[in-house]
Amino acid sequence: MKTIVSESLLPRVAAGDERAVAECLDRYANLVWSLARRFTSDRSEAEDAVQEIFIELWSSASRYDSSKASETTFIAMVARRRLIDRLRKTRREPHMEELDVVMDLGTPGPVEATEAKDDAARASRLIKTLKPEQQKIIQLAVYQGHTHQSIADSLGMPLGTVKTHLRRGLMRVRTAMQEALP
Amino acid sequence: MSGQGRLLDLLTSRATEGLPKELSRELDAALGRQTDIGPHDLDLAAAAADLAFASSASVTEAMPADLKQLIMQQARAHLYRRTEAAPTTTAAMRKRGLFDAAYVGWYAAAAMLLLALWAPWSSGPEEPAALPSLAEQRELLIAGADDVIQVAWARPATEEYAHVAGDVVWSIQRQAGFMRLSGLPANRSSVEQYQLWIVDPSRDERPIDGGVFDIPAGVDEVLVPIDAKLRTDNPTVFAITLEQPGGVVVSDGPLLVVAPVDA
Repeated sequence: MKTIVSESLLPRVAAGDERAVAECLDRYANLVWSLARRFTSDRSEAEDAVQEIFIELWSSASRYDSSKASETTFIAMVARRRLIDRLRKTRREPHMEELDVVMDLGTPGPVEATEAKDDAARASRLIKTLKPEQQKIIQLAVYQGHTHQSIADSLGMPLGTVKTHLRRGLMRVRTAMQEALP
Repeated sequence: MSGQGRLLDLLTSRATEGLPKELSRELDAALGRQTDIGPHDLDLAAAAADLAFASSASVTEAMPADLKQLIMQQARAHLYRRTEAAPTTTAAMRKRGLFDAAYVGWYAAAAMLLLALWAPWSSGPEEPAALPSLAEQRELLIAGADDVIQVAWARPATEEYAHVAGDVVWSIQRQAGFMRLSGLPANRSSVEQYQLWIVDPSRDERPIDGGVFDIPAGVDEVLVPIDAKLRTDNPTVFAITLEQPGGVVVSDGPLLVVAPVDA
């Protein structure tokens, strides 16, 4: 598969390069908007959230470290942190798919055609090696945004077991990402 | 549970469901005590896993064009606040007749200069989003937000500021706004700078810092984006003071001009 390596924009954003800001928005607007729409069913809340996310991104661009993760992963992290905080404050479960849906990670999607390919593809390969139960818990918590308690209740599983699966799963993803670093 | 186990639990929780303030403080303290794991490692791992699932789902929704344009406007305002152009640049541009809108001032001059610089790069199929001037941003905000507060500067009692005019617009939903000012005396930015304050009793007894700005000599009217340092949901008064360069955290200076918001 051909790998497309995109130029990092955040260092230029941090330096105040306005063209980089516009390019950054063009490149990542749909990613951030899709995340926001997945985390909230309220369109106006999603609009507020993405404005906050990008304001934070312009301010925090200098924190991006290409030795830690891809730019896409960093931006997804900034967006997720903001969306999770908003979700936690409203104390609502996100509007997402049913809990019993388990996604098949075997089908490559659009993100694999971008520079996020490295991190996301590594995460995908790693998650596929986990037990189905653990895959499902990671999907419910990370992708669908459910709380640990709601996952435990829905799956009839002790809360501690859910937390352990999540912690181990994320640590393994982290290790896989770091092993690939130069 | 060991210190390391507790740290990983907190990092996992933050990366997936968020942490209340007390646990965030505990996490910060725990991160300060050990170095085996980076403070953002699990957040990045969760983001990568999220992207992996999103990739498989192949569900990407395009951001609405008007929202994208608004974010670009906010980005420009953010960058302008970081950019200081010399007043001589403004004067030179005025001589060349590069702008003539009555209320477009120093910041708009900077915007137009950047637009001029932008032009050679913006051709071709991958043209970035268009960049409106501050005046256009202000008009778009007024036209596009349904909660815009627009209040005039009250006539000041002191002689020096008696001719100050203009207004303030602020959108609570978008947390963005602009000051339009004429008649405010020019300041020497190396000695003192104007600072905007926003009184929001629902948030704090102390006014919110709305950002510092300059009034260059020879400019009749200036448009300044508001740089509120905190979320402002219930502004009751906008006020301007003159402070040391860079502004202050708490002002004890006199309020030079104010724009009260009617209840």
